Amino acid sequence: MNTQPKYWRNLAELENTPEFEDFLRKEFPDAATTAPGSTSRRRFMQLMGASFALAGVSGCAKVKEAGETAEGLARWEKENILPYARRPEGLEPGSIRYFATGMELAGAMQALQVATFDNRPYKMEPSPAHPYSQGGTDAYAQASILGLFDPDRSDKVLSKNAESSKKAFADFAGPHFSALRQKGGQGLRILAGSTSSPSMHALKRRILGLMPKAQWVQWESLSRDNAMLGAKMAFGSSHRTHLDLDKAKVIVSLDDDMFGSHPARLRLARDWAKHRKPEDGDMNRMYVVESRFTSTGASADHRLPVRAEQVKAFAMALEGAVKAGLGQGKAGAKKGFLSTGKASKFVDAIAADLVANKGEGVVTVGHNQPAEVHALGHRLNAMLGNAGKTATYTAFKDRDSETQQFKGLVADMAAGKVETLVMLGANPAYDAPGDVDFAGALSKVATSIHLGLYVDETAKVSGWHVPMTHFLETWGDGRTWDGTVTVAQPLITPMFNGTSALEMLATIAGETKATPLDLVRNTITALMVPEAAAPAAEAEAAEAEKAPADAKDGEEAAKPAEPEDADLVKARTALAAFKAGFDWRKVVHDGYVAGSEFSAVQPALAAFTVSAPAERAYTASSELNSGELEVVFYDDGKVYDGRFANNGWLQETPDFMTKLTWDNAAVLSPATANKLGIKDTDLLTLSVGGKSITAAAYVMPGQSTGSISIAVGYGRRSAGVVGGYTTKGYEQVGFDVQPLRTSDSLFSAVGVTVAKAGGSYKLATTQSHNMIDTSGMNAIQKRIPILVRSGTQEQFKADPAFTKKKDHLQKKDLFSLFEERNWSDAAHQWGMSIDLSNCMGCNACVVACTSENNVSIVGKDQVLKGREMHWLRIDRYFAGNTEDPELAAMPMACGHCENAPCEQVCPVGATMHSAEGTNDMAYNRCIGTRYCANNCPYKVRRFNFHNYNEDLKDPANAKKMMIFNPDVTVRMRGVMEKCTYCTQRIHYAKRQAKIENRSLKDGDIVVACQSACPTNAIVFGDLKDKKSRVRKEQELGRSYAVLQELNVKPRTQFLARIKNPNPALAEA
Amino acid sequence: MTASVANIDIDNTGVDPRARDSLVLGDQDLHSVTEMVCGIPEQERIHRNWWIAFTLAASLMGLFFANIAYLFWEGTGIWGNNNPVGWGWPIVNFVFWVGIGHAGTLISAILFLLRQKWRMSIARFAEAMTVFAVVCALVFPGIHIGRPWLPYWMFPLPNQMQMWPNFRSPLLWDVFAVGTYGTVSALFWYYGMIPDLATLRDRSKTKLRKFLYGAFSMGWTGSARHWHRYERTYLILAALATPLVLSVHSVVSFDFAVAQLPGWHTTIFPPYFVAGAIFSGFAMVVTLAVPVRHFFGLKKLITLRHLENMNMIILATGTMVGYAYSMEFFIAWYGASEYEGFAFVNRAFGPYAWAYWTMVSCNVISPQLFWFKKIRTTPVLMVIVCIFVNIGMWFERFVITVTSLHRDFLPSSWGYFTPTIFDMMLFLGSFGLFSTLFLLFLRWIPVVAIAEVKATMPQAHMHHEDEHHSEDTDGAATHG
Repeated sequence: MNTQPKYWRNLAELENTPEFEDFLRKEFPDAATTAPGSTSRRRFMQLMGASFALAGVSGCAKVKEAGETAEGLARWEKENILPYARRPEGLEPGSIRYFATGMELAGAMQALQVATFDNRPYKMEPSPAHPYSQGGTDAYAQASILGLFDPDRSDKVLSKNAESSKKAFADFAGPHFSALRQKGGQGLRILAGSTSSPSMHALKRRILGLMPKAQWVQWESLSRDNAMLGAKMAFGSSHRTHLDLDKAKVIVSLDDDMFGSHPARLRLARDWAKHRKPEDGDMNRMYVVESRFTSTGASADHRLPVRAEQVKAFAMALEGAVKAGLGQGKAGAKKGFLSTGKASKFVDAIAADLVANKGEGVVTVGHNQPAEVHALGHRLNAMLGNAGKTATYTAFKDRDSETQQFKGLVADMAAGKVETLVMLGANPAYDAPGDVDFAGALSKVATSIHLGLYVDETAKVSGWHVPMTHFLETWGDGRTWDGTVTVAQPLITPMFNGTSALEMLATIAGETKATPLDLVRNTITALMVPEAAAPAAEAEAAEAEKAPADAKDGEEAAKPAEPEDADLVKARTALAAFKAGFDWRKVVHDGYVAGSEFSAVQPALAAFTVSAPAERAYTASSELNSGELEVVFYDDGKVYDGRFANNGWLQETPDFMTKLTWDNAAVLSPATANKLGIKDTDLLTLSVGGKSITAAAYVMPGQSTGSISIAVGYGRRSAGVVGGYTTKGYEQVGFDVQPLRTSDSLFSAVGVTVAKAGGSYKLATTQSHNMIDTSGMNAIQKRIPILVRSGTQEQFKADPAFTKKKDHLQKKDLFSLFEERNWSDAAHQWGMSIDLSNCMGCNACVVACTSENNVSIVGKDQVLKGREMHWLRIDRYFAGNTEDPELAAMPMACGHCENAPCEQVCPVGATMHSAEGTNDMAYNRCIGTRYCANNCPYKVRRFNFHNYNEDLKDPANAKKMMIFNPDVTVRMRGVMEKCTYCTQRIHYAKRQAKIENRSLKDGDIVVACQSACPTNAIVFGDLKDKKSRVRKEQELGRSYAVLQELNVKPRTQFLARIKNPNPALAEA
Repeated sequence: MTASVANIDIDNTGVDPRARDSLVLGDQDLHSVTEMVCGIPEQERIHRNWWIAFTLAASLMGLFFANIAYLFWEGTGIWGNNNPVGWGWPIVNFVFWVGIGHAGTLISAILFLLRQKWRMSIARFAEAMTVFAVVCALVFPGIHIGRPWLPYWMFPLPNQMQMWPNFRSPLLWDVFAVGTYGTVSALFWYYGMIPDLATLRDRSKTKLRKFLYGAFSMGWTGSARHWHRYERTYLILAALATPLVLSVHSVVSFDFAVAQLPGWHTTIFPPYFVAGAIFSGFAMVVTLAVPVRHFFGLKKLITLRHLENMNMIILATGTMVGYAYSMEFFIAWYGASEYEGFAFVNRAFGPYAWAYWTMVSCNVISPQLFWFKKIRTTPVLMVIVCIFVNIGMWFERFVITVTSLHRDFLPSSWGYFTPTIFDMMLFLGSFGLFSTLFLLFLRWIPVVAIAEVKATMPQAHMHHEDEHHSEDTDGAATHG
């Protein structure tokens, strides 16, 4: 305690007193000294209960303080995340409570809500109230909860790979950084990923203020450098581009996987989907020019597969054609691949469409394209008057390319200029490009400190490894892509003895008393209430903070004094906030600060010239030669840059395009494979510039000819039991592509030689693609138009019910063997509608379903045997030309058929219909004949061939049990399971309605897949309610039941996909 | 091998009934027949070959039960079954064994009602084969389920929760059909054995034998009243068993036909399954009869004419099966259902074409060899053909079960089934169970129905000696 006056008093301060800590240590040694190390669930509850018995008094006091906002406001000015000893008002045991938080991935925040059950987080939900997010999550966010409970997470401080303790590290770090501060930070480097966290930025400024000689280096393996440098080229200074697809009628993507790998993917998809319902008026039109088949490409009205290196030439030709269209010049002669065929028509059609929709079109360029193409994109948008309308800009501080920064850091390390290196969550020993020898350079660094969730590749070569907290275990903040400040509150006490990045930075800055909560609250308050930041520099920085999210702040006003006392800062900030009427509790409750988004600017276009594109000799597959190929590196929406490699939910999620699980592969088109004599699953050696990797071949239609794409983030050597840990005998998962990446070209390599490495490799796909014979192919081609119905806007306008004409038999022709049930007796009749026009294959629903329903992951071997357990899958089929196919995709889960064929054949009646029309499974009654699965025409039933939860018996895995949704039975071996329409959510909502003495409203029940869907493609509700959305959708002309002729009457119906093709590009 | 006459084949397969030899060959009298048959269970020292065969069979049976133990421990996942292919080898084996189990009751019941006297000498062991095959068959549905400790939930057992099985499910019909069939077959088999067990009892030299055979022969004295009641009951049982022969495999076929899976959902299944079952059952009888009559010196009782008759039935039913195969294709085309049409094209030309053509070669082509009298009447050749028939019939069930499942409506769910070593060991092991039971039967029970065979002998018809093949056999057996 110090003698500073306190403006803010309550009993919680007790916990900071030495007396209190002493008492706690004596009474509850475990709780006081270490966070539970290998906590079993039971032990966890004991600990939590015991600890909170102490905190009970203060807990109650605080609840009163929180008053009516108890629900939704998870945390107060207190750090222990503990349940209550006495139940506060508003908290019901067994009820689900949602708390706002956020997950930051590579510099962009995703606003989330976390469902908790008795204060245990178990499910990630979107945050629909958030002004930017507006609902929907991605697969990463859905799976992050599994990462929280991952038993492989590091829970011990390591010193030179030997077990050490938090105290030992603190004893080392205190004097070490104090000495460094004296030296002005000489030889200190901090390596961190891209972040948008205002608190991190504030700390960074304070650290660099204290230690001007220190350097902060930012490194992302999937860098967005090119976009930044492209904007700099176009505007003379760095800007972030924001696309407003809601306003765009014509969308042109130049190799930009907007819906897959763009940081704003959820919002982009949502805005795009708003104009994909033909009933709501004219649809937008999307053109995609891309090298690999992405979900964006699959959603496009027109797609042109070209090699990544050809995109530049395409962009230049497009610019020429647009100029000509605008009457500003003449389109140059088209050369090379652009001179003939589809590509030629494409340029003209897009240009004409863009010109016709001036100010209502948008051109976007992928982050893997070089800066020049980005600059061209900006110029096109400016030329067409789209800038400021569909494409807006926010200013950013200039910074160097982060890849070059990183390269510089490694050079410094190798030169012995770096004495202390602190790595915040980064894993450069794995994800550094092949031409940067990070691990080698690290050995020359005297003191290296790695803060990370796992003992990963970098931790193993670092001097110190400190376990890091998961974002659900600590306070944090960040900005969504538009800049809205989003606060992440912790949902659980750190379970693995973790230290947060903010705490580590505070240690470096010497702010030892500051807790993450203080840091975040002070920063946010200072940001919103500039008066709260006392020293002028902070206020100025806070103002500046509004603009840069991931920018490098170079010249800050030096502030060499030792940091202020934490209590003083806290008190001052609180007072300023109080005076300004800034309500921190509301911010935490909502999860965001309203009105904190970046303000748009209109930068003037600078003059720049683009070098001529390199045109490779070949245009057709027959001219292809090994040694001339390009390889494209991408993130596949599962393991990202490798950081989620140990997440089983993500590893087992089938990639939307390849349907691959548990692996990446070298994806090449059939023509490329034929020319090179490669067959599916052949092991290949890809070499370029003296480096080579081995990878399995995966032949997939739609990949551009002459291009190979391969996902990054696989082949981890020290990820964990799931993602591979070679020194512990867990095989690597997939192939490491880092050696082929170079710091100059992170996303592609050209001039690649491909040779067979001999042998083949087992690739576990969930849709068998490699053994379809000719008769099978023919059957598929015949069935796709019937199963996955689609049409054009023209067809729709002529006859909104045209898709129904594809029904084999009309309703009147269908008879039932049994007397059909009368569905009018129950109050509700549940049903679902899935709009194929809106589904873009992001897999969020699949992971959400896995999370909500305790769906087991089964591992690669079982997937190879065809035993994956997903209740919801996304079927995808290719049609047409193998080099440029059409894609048809549909999410498929149990349709809850009224005449369910599964029910009729079950000998024990384990699967039966409820009065409300759902097909229910009584797991206890199921004996596992599997007859129901055989008789299910949709093959959506999943059987537990083994006891997939066997590993929970191992005490080491006890933490895994915390992941389960307590409302959903964990299934045993030998029983059948399938989609239940989230029956637990139906019943929960019914219960809530009953408690509140009202009837259920449409929208009260949001099932897991629907909730996660960023495009609102899935609608669930009561078919009996004439006004329900689902009823209205099912009454639409384009609504159809798959395999309707079987008369099984599924309750899930699909809305046919309507495309909006350009008549100018109509196939002859 | 106590046969009093040389154990050689005598050609009694002549077409002309007047010139044809009797069903019991050689200079046999009633006593020599008794000696010939009873000699087998009464051997003082068990033959070495029997021991060798028994050791082999019992080992395989051990493998069977060890596999089942592992299955209980580990779960259904040890087999190759997967998502589209929910049923794999266990169900194939089940249908296979039920099919084998057809011939016995058909021979003893239907041919009895049809007054086919040639059935007499093969009925006993054909029935034994039936009972053992049904035992093998019944193991599979019990263990193929995901929680194999709970198969009794399929029975309508009264319980406090008032939980009943689902009477709409063909699997439940199966429980009743196969259960009834197994019960009636066992009863029929045992009942027909009583007079012969009494004979053995009367000839027993040890107390234990006397006691055991005595207990099982239930106080049979051979009085006219016993014979009268025996005959009547036998007739009633035969009448009861006859519809069961037809119903059991019809109901088994409902497992498939009632489902809506293309390739399963066909109305031709009940008759086609019955024909197939008789086909495979007779093939199995021939496969067993040939070595039995050879090793136990029964060539005078189980003559070439018996074998030839069975082969002719195999030829007839094999042709029916072939007809059914082609009819399936015709209907698949005529029905114009995309899915059904593809199911059959896929069978013949898809990834499982090898299985389909194995089935066709074995089931349709190989029995056609029985048009040749030489093959029909040469034991070695007919056994080879019959083994092919049974391979083919196993493949038929495999083709129906697996190829229909592996590619159904939605191509996204198409898969491929690959059996595991456990699938194979379990199937092999079921032969161990079957052979063990059969070898025990050969050792302890009269292989041929002595009393019935005697009824076909001229000595049983002393009153009309020159009417050997009179249709009027009513009561003839009662004089045995």
